[in-house]
Amino acid sequence: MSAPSVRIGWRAAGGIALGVLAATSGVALTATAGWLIVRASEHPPVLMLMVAIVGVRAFGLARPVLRYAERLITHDVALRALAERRARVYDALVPLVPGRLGRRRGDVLASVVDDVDAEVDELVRVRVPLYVWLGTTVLTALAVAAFWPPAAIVVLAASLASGGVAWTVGRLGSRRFGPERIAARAEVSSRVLAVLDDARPLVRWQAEEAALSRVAAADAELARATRGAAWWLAVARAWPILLAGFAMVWMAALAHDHVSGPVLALLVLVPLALVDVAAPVADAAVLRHETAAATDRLDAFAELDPAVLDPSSPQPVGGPEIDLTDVTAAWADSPSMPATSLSVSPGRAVGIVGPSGSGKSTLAAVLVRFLAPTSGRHLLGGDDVGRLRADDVRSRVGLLDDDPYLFGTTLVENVRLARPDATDAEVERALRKAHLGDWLDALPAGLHTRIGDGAASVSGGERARIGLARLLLAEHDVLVLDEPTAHLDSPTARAVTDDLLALRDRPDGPGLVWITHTEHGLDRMDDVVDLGRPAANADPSAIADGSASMVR
Amino acid sequence: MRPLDPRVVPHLRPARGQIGVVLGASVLTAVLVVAQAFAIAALITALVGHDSWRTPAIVLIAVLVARALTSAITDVAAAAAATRVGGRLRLSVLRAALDLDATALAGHRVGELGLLATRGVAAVEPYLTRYLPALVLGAVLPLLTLAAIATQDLLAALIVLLTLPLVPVFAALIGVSTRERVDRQWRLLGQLSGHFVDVVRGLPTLVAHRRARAQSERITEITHRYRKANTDVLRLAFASSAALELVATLSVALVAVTVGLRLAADGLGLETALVVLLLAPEAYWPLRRVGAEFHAAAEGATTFEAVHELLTEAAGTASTSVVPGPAGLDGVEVTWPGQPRPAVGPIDLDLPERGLVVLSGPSGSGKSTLLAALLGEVPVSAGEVRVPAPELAAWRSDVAAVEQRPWLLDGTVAENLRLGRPDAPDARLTDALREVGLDLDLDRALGEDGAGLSAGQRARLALARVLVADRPFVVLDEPTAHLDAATEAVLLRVLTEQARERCVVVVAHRPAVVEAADRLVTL
Repeated sequence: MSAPSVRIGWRAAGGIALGVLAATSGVALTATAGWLIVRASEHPPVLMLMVAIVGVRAFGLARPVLRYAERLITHDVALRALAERRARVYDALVPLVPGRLGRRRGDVLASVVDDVDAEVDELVRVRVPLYVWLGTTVLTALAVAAFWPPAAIVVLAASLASGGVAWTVGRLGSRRFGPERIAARAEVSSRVLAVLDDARPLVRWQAEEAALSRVAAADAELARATRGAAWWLAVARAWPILLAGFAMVWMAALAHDHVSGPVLALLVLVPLALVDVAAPVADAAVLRHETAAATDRLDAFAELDPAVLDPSSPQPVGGPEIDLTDVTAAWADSPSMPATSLSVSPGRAVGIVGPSGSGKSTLAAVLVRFLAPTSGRHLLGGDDVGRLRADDVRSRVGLLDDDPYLFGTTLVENVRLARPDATDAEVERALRKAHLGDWLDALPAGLHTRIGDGAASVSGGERARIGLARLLLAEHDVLVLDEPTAHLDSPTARAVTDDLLALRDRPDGPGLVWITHTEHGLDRMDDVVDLGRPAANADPSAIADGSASMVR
Repeated sequence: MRPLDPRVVPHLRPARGQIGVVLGASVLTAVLVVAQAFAIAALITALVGHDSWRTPAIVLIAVLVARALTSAITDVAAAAAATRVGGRLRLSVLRAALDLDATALAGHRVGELGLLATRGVAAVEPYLTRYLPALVLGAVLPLLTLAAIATQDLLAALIVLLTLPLVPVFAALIGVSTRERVDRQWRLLGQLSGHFVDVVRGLPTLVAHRRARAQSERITEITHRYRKANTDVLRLAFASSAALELVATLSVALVAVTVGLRLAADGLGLETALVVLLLAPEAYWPLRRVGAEFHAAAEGATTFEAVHELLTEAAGTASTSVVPGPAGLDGVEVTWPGQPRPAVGPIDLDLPERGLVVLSGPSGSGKSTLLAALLGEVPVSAGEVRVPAPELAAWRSDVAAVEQRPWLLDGTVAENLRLGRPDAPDARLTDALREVGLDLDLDRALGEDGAGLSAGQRARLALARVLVADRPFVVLDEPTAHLDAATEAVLLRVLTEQARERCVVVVAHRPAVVEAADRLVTL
């Protein structure tokens, strides 16, 4: 398990100290109140009680105020750490995206966000309760020692046994069931998504029940692990309560011949008051397991090698011609792309076909330097791409993703990220060229309408065309189009196809690499490369015996 | 929002046994908390009076052991209830998604439903394990405490009775006076916290456009703004919880002062005074705890709400209108939501018992939509879909379908072939494979979405599945993928052979299929 990444600085230590004082005030409040009542029953002059009355009031007022300050400070420290940690994790991620994250990168990236939050939570919800328990135990022991020194031993022994066992049981339980729960949760998620992805055909073939029972089976595993973990946590949380009764009686047995009645009441109440401090330790122990797992996952990213290394002394990019000879490549988590050769240059169009899993998107990733080839030769402008900076390659070769992302900002900013110096008018022209004119005119604030998360909804087809507008704005020499018409209705698909193919016919038009599983536009390609040789993945000799076939 | 939304209750029913245990154990906890005060008072009185304190000590230990046991039982039963309720909710979400027709399903994104069925359902756990027990204690313990104090000292009980409502009243006052500010800050917080999620999820797009590095500093800057906004929100939240604690402390102090003064003036016994003093705080904290846990459970409450809406919607769309009769369409039109004109129709069509019916027409003329209407998967805006079955499910079990992009199960070749006829013997499967000229091992495991098969192999496998299914109707949306000539020939041969024995409806993209039609419908 990794060490927590948020270090305790002066502010955090101050916050924890306030937390200790707040918790100790709570213990003192109960104890002094007990002293006060018993002393009052001895009918002393009222003035003698005043000190204790003032004490009770002070502790009663101090607890909420100190607790308020503690929570504010520790949360502020945690949030400061969040800012710093986010930037660090982000910097570590950039060279890994998307080449090293595989095809499920959306899920991976979403979990990174949760993991960073979980890691920062560790300070507030694991270490603060833990240190507050320890600090309060010590402070309380010192305080009772002032009344009768041996009482300190009872307080220390009882409180350490109480919180210590709660912590250990909590840790053991999460070590026993934590990994199982995490794995079961992942399995449930993947089976749930499988049902939702295939909802239509499952209904057509009345195969819903079989698919649902697969989800239920995974769910049963998750439930089993959850209940197992719950038993351990339940024991860890109940333990401090159980122990408190024995500790109170122990204190009474030891002290009742040595101290006055009021002090005895004070001492006997202390172990009960300490339950409130020890109980949160059980939950902290379980959470500690989860935050440590999050830290491990984040650290694993830092140890990954980038998918593409920039050379130490990059060359400037030469011409725009791309040449692939027997190139193979693979994502982290899928079978490799068969050895593929192709040439493309401005004005030329190459179609790429093949079934899913045959490496079409892998090829696209190689072309824009998301992935380095595992073998073969990849030239841009006659230079090996290994001698060029990846960003320089991407300035020449643009990708229309099959899943372009929309950021939570205005439409114009979403498109402008492709070329930051573009004017509003240029952005608008790109949008109209991408067949979004009617849609744009209907938007409430035109170019300045907010889109993306939580704002105006954008359909799959519109999203694909916004991606296209970005690409048109960026003015690359070669465009890699991965299923450019997949989300479009037929008339729009045809119009977009026509427009894109017309682009390359212009004198300075770009080259096209057209990846598709439909026939749209294939007849107008200069070349078609079929990656779908049936045995290519199963039979290594098929890879060995040469490149994928050239169909036309 | 109400403490317990009535829409939540039906979802709790599958776990009513465990929830009953949670409720019972919570009530028992309240009783034990009161008993504990009496036991401690008896112990201290005995100690101070130099009486025998053995019995009160044993009672105190017994009470705390019992409290520990009830605490553990509550935790375990609540966790069991949460897993059971969660499992059922998850299946309800999936069942509803399967019941939705194609348009309604497209309205929800798969990701959104997936999130509801995974994270949303997980959020139910704190609702059941933390909020529900707190709610029971909040309802029971203050009243029980009040009653117990009343048996000891009526004046103290009166003070508690008068001050107890201050906690909810102050909570409401604080809520009302800060609502506007809190709402404004939450909105700001939402925007700022969304930034990092947004940038990380969009990282592939940023990398592709060479904008990734530029974001690093901005993340730090925005997160610091997020910290400031968040601290403002937390300051209010912590201040209101501190204020409520002060209200409770001052109320307890009021009780303590009157009790202490009367004790000193000999108007009250020590044991009574101790019981009252120990009980008084127990009246106040359960109410504050309900408030605190309510926020922790808010996400779970949202899940219940979202599931309720989804189930209502699914119940509304599940009854896509089909009428019994000879298979066909009567003046059917399909209009997509928000579109002024129908996407297809009106169209009349009678399906024969056997023969090849071909739907043809230019791309975008609604052929696939018509097929979906025939299968009852999209609502029709006019006309009627006639099916030779009493209801939709029975009709679907009479139809063997092939999608435009043949759908394959993540399983073995045999599992894929048996989809429409789970009891088919192996010999039937190998026969079907031979008929479509496919040489695949029955036990070969296909990857996700048939990874590793070519477009031609996929099409042939889907066709073999139709042969195995042996159903009276075959509906085929001809694959648009780039098929090799041999596969195209197999496709045509199998379709015409099948059409001799049953009704085959094909959406055609290739001229050869159109030529083979017994009946041609041009859109």
